[in-house]
Amino acid sequence: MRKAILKLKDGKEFEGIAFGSEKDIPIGELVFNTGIPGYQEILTDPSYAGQIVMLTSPMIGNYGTDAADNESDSIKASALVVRKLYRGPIMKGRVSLDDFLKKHAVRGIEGIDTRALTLHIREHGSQNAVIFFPEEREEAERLIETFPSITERDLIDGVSVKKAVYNPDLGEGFEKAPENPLKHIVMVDYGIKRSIIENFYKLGASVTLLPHTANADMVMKEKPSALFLSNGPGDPALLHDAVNLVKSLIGKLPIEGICLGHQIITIAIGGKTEKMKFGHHGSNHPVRDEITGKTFVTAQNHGFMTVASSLPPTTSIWFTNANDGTVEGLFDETLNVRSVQFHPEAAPGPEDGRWIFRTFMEKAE
Amino acid sequence: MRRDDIHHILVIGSGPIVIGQACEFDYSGNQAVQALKEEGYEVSLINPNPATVMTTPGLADHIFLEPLRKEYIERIFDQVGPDAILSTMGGQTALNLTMELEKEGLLKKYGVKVIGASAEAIERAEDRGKFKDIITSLGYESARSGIAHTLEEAERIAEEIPFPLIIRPSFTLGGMGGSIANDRDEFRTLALRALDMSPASEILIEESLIGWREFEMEVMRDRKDNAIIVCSIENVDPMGVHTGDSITIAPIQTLSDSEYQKMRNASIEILRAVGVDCGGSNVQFAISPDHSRMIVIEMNPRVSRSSALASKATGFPIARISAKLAVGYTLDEVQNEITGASVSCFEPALDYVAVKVPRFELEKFPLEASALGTQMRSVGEALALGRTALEAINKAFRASEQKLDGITALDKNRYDTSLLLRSAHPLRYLAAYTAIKDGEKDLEKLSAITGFDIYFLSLLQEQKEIEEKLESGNLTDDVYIEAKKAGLTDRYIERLSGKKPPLKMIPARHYVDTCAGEFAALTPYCYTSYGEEDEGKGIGKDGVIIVASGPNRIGQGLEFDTCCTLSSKAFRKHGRKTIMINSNPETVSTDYNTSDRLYISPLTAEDVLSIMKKEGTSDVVVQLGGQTPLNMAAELEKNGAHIVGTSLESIDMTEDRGLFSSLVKELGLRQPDNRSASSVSEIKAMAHEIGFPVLLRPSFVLGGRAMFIAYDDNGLEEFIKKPEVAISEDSPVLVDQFLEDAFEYDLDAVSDGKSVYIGGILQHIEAAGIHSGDSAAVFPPYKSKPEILEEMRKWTLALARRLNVRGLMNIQFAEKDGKLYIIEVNPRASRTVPFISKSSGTDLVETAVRVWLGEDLVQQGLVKEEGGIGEGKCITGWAIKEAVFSFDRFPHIDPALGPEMKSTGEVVGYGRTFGEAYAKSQAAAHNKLPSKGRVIISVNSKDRKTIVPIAKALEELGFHILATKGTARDLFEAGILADVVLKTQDGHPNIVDYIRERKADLIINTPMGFHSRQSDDDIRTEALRAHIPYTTTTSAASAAVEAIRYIQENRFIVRELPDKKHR
Repeated sequence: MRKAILKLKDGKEFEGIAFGSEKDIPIGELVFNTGIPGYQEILTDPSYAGQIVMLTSPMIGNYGTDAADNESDSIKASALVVRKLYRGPIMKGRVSLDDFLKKHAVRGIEGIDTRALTLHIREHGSQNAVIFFPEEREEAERLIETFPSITERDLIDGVSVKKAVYNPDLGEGFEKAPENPLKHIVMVDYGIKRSIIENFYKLGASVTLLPHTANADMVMKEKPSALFLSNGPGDPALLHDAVNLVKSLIGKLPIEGICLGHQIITIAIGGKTEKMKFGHHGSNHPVRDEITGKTFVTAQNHGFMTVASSLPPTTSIWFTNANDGTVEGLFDETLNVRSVQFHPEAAPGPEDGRWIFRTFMEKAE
Repeated sequence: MRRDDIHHILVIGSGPIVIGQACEFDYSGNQAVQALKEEGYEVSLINPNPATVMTTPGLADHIFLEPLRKEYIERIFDQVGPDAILSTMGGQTALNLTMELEKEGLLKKYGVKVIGASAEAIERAEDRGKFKDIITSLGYESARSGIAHTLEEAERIAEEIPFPLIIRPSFTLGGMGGSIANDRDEFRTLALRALDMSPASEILIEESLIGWREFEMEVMRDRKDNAIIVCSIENVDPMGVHTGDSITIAPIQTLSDSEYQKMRNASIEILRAVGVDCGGSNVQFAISPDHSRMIVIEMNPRVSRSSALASKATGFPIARISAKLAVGYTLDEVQNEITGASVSCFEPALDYVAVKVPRFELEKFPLEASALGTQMRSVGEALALGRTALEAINKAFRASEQKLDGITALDKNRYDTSLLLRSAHPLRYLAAYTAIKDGEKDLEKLSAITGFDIYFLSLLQEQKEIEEKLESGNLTDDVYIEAKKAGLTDRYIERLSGKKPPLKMIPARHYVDTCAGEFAALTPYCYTSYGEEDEGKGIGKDGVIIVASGPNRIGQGLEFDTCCTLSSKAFRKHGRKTIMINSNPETVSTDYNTSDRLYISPLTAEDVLSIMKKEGTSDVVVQLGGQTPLNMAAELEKNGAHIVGTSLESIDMTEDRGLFSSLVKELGLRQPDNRSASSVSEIKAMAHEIGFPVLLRPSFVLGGRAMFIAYDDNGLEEFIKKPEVAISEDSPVLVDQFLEDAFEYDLDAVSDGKSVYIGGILQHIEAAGIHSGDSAAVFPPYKSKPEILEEMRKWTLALARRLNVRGLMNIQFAEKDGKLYIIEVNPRASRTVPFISKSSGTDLVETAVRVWLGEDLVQQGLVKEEGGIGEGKCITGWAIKEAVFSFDRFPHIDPALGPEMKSTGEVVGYGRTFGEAYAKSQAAAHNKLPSKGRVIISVNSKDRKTIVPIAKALEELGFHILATKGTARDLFEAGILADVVLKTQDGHPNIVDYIRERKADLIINTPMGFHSRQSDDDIRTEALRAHIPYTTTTSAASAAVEAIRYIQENRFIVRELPDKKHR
């Protein structure tokens, strides 16, 4: 058991015990997620690139990890912070969380008073943090002083595909692409989760994944039924190319998006996004469907949001967060765009919003 | 949106506390009544349980403490005219009653709508065949099974599914009558019994899933199809143990998100298909050990014990919100009151672990090694919250008040641990710990033997490592902190390490906020944990701590929780801030809005003291929660607590036999002759000095356990041989004069040290020697001379003044041959305080609180002048309290009554006449007094005279009289012709045969003394099994006669509880 330290940019420090990899000091924006199960999906979700994830659920690692629960090919979060890591035996065929982190060269720290840390972030907002061994203190403190904030970091390049991929194989435990696709969805990959692609597969779509650098010609060449903008890490306001891509394609085909994709659409249609104090990260957020009046529970993971008042008059709010009233989805029939801020693919979290994919498919041409 | 098509709602309570239906329904009913009142509805309530908070005057508009039977409900429909009935708050009892009202057409006749769950939805969820079809149609799996209405049908099904088989009767509460058959012979017996128990003669026979993992989802759904999971619960015990008897943990610990979501989706789809669209339900699942199969076990379309647990584990008030949904609101319209910042259409996120440990009465109701099964056996439960699973488990074991500091290895001299490992036994988890502590390293093997998931065994491994560090004796700060974080007490740490803790740690206060810290919590629901940052500030000197009563057990249950709840309300009403500490998740006292601050915490001196320090107050109330708080009072005071009310010194004087005897002498009062013997020969000598019969009990045993009445030397021998009796200088045996055939009384009073206010005097109906908690009792006394009552009052005042009683006191008296004796004095709230408060119209708890706040009884207007006596009157005419038992859960246990308390609950019967009150008390207790038929009389020689008018009356009422030989002869001499039946020892057919063949409708059998005790016991046991009313005293028999008169009139009178204060 090796002691390690978690330090926040504002100076707050916690001492804990290291697990996972011992390589490289992790640094990134510290965010909390209030979901209970689902640590593996969270760690492998590319939206968490550049972020240190702290889980409020105190007992982590209980059921190990399973290849079928990976949302990408590796751990994308910079590090993991937990109250208590389970180090005991697990079911045959699974890999312990400790080993999983080691394999992906990611550091973890346990024994942290995650409750105090959560309340601190709630009070002071998300900020950069660093995890280090005592002998690394000097280096770590230097790092955190100079490290850019999440709003200044371009994280997409690290998680996007490098070239176009047709019907990507999602790996063990996931559905394969349909043999006789009904529609063809072209997706720009800002760090897409496997479950999003799988949901389209399940509904009979074929998928082409394009790198985030894709331009309008590359999109149109694929003869898409719709353009889909994926989830991903970081500040949407930095993604000028993505916004320009969408602007250039609006009206030419249906455009859909989830999470970061929703934020890109927001900006492209003339709206604004802003950073939230500590964001929505969890599996229990109620969202109201403004068309039907129904409320359902969703998985969420975003630190930026659409500013409702900034939206053009033709745009309608599709979903609203029932707790804080923030925008959770929009549609604009005149522009043929629709997007959601939450994660209908869940993974992890409640699957009550999965029907959104049906709407996305129906609206694809 | 609020429903405007209904205006007046009848809430059905669950009646007396029995195993499987306890305080949780007082909690849910209470929340429901409050929620409906808030919405401006007129609310009526029926519940014959006087110990409940929900029946407190001023809560509902019309309160009926009447039997939960359709005839009485029909009268309520007629009399106060509700237009809706809320069926989901009173457990299986309320659900079944609603179904009955529906089937009888009474709802239609009176234009009453069912809200909460429709009759159709109840039917679909409860009818096992229909439910199974739903599961199959949704594409989920049920256990392989079949439904039978006859033994033949049952046997046909048993041929198709391999043994062992589970047999469950339909429509019973708490899985009652369920059993496991291992072979064909067992199957036949058990199937017959189950068919008999089901009100619909319907049983389900299914494949055994024993050893599988068990899970439960608490779901809410509204009419807009919004659905949420409030809480997921995992049973630590595997399938095969009733969930009420299982150690459980929330949230689910061992499922991955994909497995969890599958279960979540299934739960919501099931609610949708069953049609639950305005309330809460739970759905139970089993998962095979390799996680390859998920089976839906069952659902309850109502608020349940587990929803009370889920409410307390998450902070989400399920019953309250269910009530709102029942009257038309949707989840997104209801605010989450804990955060105030979110709506109720969300799923609580927990950043702690909640563990429930059931509490059994292993000493009163011993269990065979494999006794746990599909039928619930535990009497209560304790909840603990911790930041880690191990911490919560250790706290929960401690909180269960079963003499465990936490997870501890079992004494192998006392227990066969290898047998326990293989048995569905309450101690199995500790047996697994014992094995691990002994060096078992193969957790997979242990998991296969015990059925515990490897995760839960691994926690035990962690406990072992901590214990070993402590046992090494090197108690460093780090080791100490690690042990505290794991939930160990200072006492246990000291015991293992042999050292005093190196530092004093005060735990951190954490809030239960439903959102894992995402929003600021408004409602102060707290727990403590070590080694973390503190949240919030202490309440300070304004605060008063109320130590509640912990898990339900026999002798300490709902009554005390009600006292604690009422005191909190009274303190708050009079300007003090209250801090409630309790571990019982079923209760109203652990509701988030009962007190200014609530701690879910084990009730030990260490825990209470740490909270006291955190809150910055020293005022602690210990006289309302029964024995639990009193037992820690001395240690609290030693460590700086100020005990509110009567001083510890006075409490001591009443509890210490020697001091109490001197006090009785000093005041010139009388008590039964009593000695203390420290050897076998002393017992004999003293028994002869005092004169038989004598009451014997080991001095160190509380609650009447191992108490014994000896009529002669043989009896003494029998007592001495009892395994729990060890006689020595250190543990003497108490030898008391036993007042046979005495009348017994209970008196509840409040004193300010100068005057005394007597709430009321209760006279017992059963024979002396039966624990006061087990006997029927009447308020006001019905067979007493005024001089005796006057003497009681004087003695009460004398005791109250001498002891300087400030607050509540309870005195038990006995009267024999015109002489009054004091049996015991308890300077605390008693079980009968809520009953007396309701029946007299004066809240004794509030009276006591006002005394504590400095307002004496004269100022309160209850006593005319200082040094005087005030007394309450029964405001309902007659009030009769009847005890209710759960013996049918323990078929192998002799249901004999004696000095040791065995009842689990109580009911009241109110009436203008004694007969009406007694009839109602019996109806409410489900003792079916007959209106015609056969009565068997067998009385001892002393009762032969008094029985004559009773027999005569029964004859006049049209009963056919049967009697044993001696009784028949005496009756004949008095002109009553009785058919002779044989005593059990005299051949066949005898009394027992008559009972077994249901050829008797009422049995009057007074004790024949030591020699015929076996036969008396047989009669009583069989009568209980056959549900035939059975009385052991002539006074109870004459009460029964008056009641039968009322029943024959066939009038079902309902009376609203008068509300003295509120109108």
